[in-house]
Amino acid sequence: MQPVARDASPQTFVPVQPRGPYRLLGGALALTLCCSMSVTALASGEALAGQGRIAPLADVESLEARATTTIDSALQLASLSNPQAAIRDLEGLLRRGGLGPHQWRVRSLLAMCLFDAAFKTIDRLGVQGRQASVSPTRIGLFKAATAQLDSAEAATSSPVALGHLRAQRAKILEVCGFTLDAHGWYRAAATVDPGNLRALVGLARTLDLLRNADRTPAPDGNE
Amino acid sequence: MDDVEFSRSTRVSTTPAPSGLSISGPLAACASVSLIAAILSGIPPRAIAGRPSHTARLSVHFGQAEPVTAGPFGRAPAALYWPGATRAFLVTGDGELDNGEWVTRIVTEIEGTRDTAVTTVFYWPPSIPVARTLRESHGVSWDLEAALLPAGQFGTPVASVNIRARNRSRRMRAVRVWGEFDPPPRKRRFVAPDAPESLGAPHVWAKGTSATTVAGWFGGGEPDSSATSTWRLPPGAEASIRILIPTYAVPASMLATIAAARHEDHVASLIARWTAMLDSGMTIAVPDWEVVSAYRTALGVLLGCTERHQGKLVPIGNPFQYRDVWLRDGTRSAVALALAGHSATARELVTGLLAYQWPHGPFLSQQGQLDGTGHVLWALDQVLLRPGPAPDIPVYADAAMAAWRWCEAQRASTQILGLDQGGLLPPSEPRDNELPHGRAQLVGTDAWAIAGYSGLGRLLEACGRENDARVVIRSRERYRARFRLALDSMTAPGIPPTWQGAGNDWGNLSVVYPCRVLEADDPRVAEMLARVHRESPEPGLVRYGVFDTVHTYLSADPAHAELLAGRPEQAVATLRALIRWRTPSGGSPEIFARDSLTHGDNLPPHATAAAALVTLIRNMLVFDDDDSLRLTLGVPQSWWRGASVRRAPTRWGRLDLALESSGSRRVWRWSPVPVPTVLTLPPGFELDGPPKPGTAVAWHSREVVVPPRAGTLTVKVRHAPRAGP
Repeated sequence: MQPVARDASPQTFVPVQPRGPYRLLGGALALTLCCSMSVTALASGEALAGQGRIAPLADVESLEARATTTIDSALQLASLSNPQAAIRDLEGLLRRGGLGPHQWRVRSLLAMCLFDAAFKTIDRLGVQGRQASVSPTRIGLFKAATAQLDSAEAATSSPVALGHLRAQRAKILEVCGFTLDAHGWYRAAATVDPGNLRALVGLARTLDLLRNADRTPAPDGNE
Repeated sequence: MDDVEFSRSTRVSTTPAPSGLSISGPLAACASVSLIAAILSGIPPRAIAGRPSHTARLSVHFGQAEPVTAGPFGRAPAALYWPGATRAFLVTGDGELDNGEWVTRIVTEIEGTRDTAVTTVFYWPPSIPVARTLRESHGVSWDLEAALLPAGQFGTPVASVNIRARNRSRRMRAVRVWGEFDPPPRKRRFVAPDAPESLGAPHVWAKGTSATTVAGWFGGGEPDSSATSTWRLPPGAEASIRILIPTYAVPASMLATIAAARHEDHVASLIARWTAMLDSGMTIAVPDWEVVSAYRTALGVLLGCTERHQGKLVPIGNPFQYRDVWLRDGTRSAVALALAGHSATARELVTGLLAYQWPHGPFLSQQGQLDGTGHVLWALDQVLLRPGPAPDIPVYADAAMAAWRWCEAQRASTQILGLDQGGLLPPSEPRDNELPHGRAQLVGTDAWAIAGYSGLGRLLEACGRENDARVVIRSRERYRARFRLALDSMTAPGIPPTWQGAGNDWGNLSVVYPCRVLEADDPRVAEMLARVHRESPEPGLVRYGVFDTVHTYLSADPAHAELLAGRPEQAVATLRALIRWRTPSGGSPEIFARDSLTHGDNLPPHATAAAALVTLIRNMLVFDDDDSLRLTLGVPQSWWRGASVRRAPTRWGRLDLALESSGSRRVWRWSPVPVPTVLTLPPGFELDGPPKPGTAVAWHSREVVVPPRAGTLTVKVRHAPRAGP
């Protein structure tokens, strides 16, 4: 099975890689996250990947199926390093409305894709660089991602969903360098959903990073 | 044209070429003609460190048509830019123009021998980004002139290039010039951040092609697609050809439209526009040509290193490899422009920086660089309150308050969590100057945040929010006390770059100026300054990292600290070094290797280095960051022979200043301000008796304080005794 974990996707840039036991836990968490979002998504994603195409939305009759299929497509597009296409699909789905209980998940996924789009690298005339090459665009994508998470939180009261969304926000903040803010959001996620393993690990990791500032080389060597 | 043979040529003339430079054509449109004329007619150039001055080099060059003397970066390329444009051109001394997507090479050949010389690229007129390169071979001189025409009605900036060959020999010469495109992929230098992902179709010239877009237009009238002109030039004859290269591939028709007007006319218009832009702000006149030229060139770099995105103007790091925003750099550019009187542009830039505010309050442009918040708050104050409060300050004050709340929450959280340095900002991973690898609590992040608090306090006062201002100022004092406590807890002397002790000098060098966290005479500051000067391989500049790498703009904040500590000689040394270590076109690199005199792929001009030059020159003359006006804080004696400043924006309005020196008399004349003014004598001099009764409220050996609304002072001076060892 092709994992669709953000931490594992090649275009994702994760400066704060979990160290030691966290690294192992991180991988497991990512997998858990994807499975919890949509088990069928991964399965059907595999099937679609095998066909080499994304299912057109027009073929989907029911709202449920449409939402699920779009999530499938978005996940697959994201895993295929094409977050922009996933963003387009998800925004289209949100524009059509009527998503009901799916809305928070769609917005969460959209936030993930926006975040990935900010870090997606491409080859320009033989040189690797960010696709969102200017920081106003990148910052705009981050801000749009957090705005989606705001909306997603407003669309659900499920502790599990809220825990997921807050941990997701924490991850965005952590990657962008707001370690202390991330720590606060991991704490908020763990408070609302004490079983959220991602939040618990994030909480421990960020506290470790905050308390043990050192000169450990960054994993990607980016300067 | 009986004696002239040519297969493909334009504007071939048998008129003997002038032997020297005549100020005509494009230069006639330049408001700096008087300056150029002055240079050429005998204002003595001031040699620096035994090197021929820029003035001397240009005179030699134009008078004798010989290669320009190489400076420290004699073969460095020049930049062609235009404010707000999203691409620029890099022009090299071997005839290449690079827009970050494709390279256009202009090749010359004499008697079948390809000219491979690499010559100096300089701006002419000085400070105006019109690049010139000259070379001579087999008695034929080549003169390449390139200018970037702004987008205007055409929609895309286009480089207009004119190549002129002149036969200075006594024999007929067969010469050829042609243009060619480097095939992709790019192997060197930089890539435009908006370059296409795919390689696409090969680049083609405008003529004889059916392509929808072209990469260049070569000469006129030839029926085929070859970009070649061949001439046979008799002695004294000259010929020229024009080439147009767009910043982005464009329809051939667009280039044909531009080609309808002469290169000379385009350049004259461009020079006039640049001159008007450069002279629209604060102007300085000091009897030191290099200083004036460096100031104007740096202003051009600052204006040119801006990019417009979705209607917002943002400051970029440089025209080539740093086409992005770093708040730690962009704010410096905005503030330098504000100090230089380009208030409208500076305010537009800080408006653009608001886009970098995150929903939870802080400002951040690049991962982990938490000093962005302090930088932006500082810049808002510096830009919006000169020469008077901007009308829309409340909008900015609200944004800044959100940032301040974030900072205070962070400080409280680091305290609650019991971090190593609780009460200061948390560790971060800037992936940049002070800590390329690793994570630490950065001294500079705290220093800049404190500077931001000061700026916010001023902003709030300016918009009548006194209560908020009091709260912010009180928090600043608490923060400053915490900073001091952290410093006192460190066993090592000086001020480290990080609270954990490791890292490179960076924000710690800014604690006196601009951050005003510590006083200039603080022993730890003195120790730090002594160390950085001691370690540097180049007097006036500071070392970056290890070995022989020297940094340019990083030296400017220590120079300000020296100024404020009453040691202007060190600031003058830094200014001299900043001026010296520039390219022939006046661009400063960010860093360079002192031993090999190279800047590698870190191409000049760097905008922050330009900002450092402008800021230092301005503050040496007019300093207004206190509650009093300080004039001639760092003006050397040599500038006193008729120095003047016009339209300097200060916190109390625009200000003119004129200095006179006659024998033992020193005279200041300036626009009165409603605060006391502190006047400083040049280094090496002291008062010869008290000022005239009623003119001053206080004085000591090198300084005189005059009351508010005074506008002139005359004092008698004498040489100060040299300080003992």
